[in-house]
Amino acid sequence: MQPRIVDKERIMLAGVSFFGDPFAETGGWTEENEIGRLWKRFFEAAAGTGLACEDPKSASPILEVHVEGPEAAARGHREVFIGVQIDELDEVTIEMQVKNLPAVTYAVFTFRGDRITSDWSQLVTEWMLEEGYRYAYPFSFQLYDSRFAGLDQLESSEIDVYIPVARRENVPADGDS
Amino acid sequence: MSQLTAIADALTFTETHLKDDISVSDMAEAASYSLYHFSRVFNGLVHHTPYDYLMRRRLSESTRWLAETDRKIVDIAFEYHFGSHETFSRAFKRMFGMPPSEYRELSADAGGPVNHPRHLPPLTADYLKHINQQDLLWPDPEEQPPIDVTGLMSWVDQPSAVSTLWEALERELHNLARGPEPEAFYGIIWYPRNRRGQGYFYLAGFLDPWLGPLGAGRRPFHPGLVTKTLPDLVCARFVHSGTRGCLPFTRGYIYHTWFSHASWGAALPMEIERWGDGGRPPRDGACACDILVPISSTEL
Repeated sequence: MQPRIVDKERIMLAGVSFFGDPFAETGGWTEENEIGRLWKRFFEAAAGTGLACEDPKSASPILEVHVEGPEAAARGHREVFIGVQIDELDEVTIEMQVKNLPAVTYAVFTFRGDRITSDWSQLVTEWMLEEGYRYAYPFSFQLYDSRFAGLDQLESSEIDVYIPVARRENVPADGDS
Repeated sequence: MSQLTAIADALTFTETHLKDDISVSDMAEAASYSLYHFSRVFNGLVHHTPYDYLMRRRLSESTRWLAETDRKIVDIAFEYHFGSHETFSRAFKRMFGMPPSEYRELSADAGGPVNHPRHLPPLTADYLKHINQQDLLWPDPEEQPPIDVTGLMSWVDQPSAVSTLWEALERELHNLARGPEPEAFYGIIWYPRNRRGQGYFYLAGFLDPWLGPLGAGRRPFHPGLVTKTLPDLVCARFVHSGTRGCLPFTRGYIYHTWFSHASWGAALPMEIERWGDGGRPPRDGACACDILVPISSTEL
């Protein structure tokens, strides 16, 4: 599978986050682990704000960001942040936090149907090795928009996975600015 | 026998007789004090009158029955000696700001008992010792200017998760060697609208003009951190000193005791732990911090 390569400006997100081992109780794609609970908390925090709603047809895209630094990863920890893109800080409600993602080049993989819940990290890693890329930053995000109908309707769903990439000889040493 | 031990005996007695027809005289007898002396000492240590404490404990216990059973409200009222449905409902509303029927509905929607901040748990000798040995009983009002707190945030439903966040933040700070030292450390607690269970959001963070959303880009980019922006707030400032393990006592005092007598209400479902003057949040052992609770003249 060949991803699209796209450049993105800095992305400012408003949402909620989880830090720890999201799969400590239940692994994989289920609404009953910490990530499933985080989605519920996100919708509770966003309720009435106009920032997001649970109906994917009318909602803004929602990003599920996974941040996995080497030290946290050694302990099985990662940060998961679920949020929507905002333009102004005024849009952030007091229930939410802000996360900034850097201006960077992304490899964008689109997954459909059962592929969404499969372990696609291996596929991404293989592609990067073959094409001479590496992670520019230790995070990735999944973008859920109107193409995603829900975990119970995977066959008619589609998501994009954004991987920040840099050529192996060209890794940013010091931030995005 | 110390006054604290005597009052602790009365608390234990009360706890085992919540459903019995007991009076303040019986509580005094359990402490081996005269009624007058007991009332004075109890009020001085517990910061509720004995009768108020008995009523609040009965009402707090009744929430469990409301949430977890379908027993008639009038039966629960009689079980806790309220005399009538009306008396019980009036007392319940005075304490929790809603009638028992509404609490039952909220809990059904939440799928379990709603953890109301005014809920009074059984108080213990350790709690009494903690709250009476320091200056936390009477807070100062304080204006908290807008701040951006940057750090790691997570959902917390056990105390060890808070320590994990602080330890992880310490490591992240180590990696952010360039730039000024953080100005102060803040722990921000945010309670969800649906207060089922004991969980809350916790941000272990610090003030850093280089890292807030407005300062993004001045620090090396760090995808693992989030920033919470707090607006201008009027807060009640409580001084906590003791171990981190005692923080629930301090919090409990604020919500189930201080707020029940104060002329202020909670402005937002949150509180702020502040370690000032370069103080670092504790890994364990002793900790001293301010706890800032946003207040307003009307209850949330």
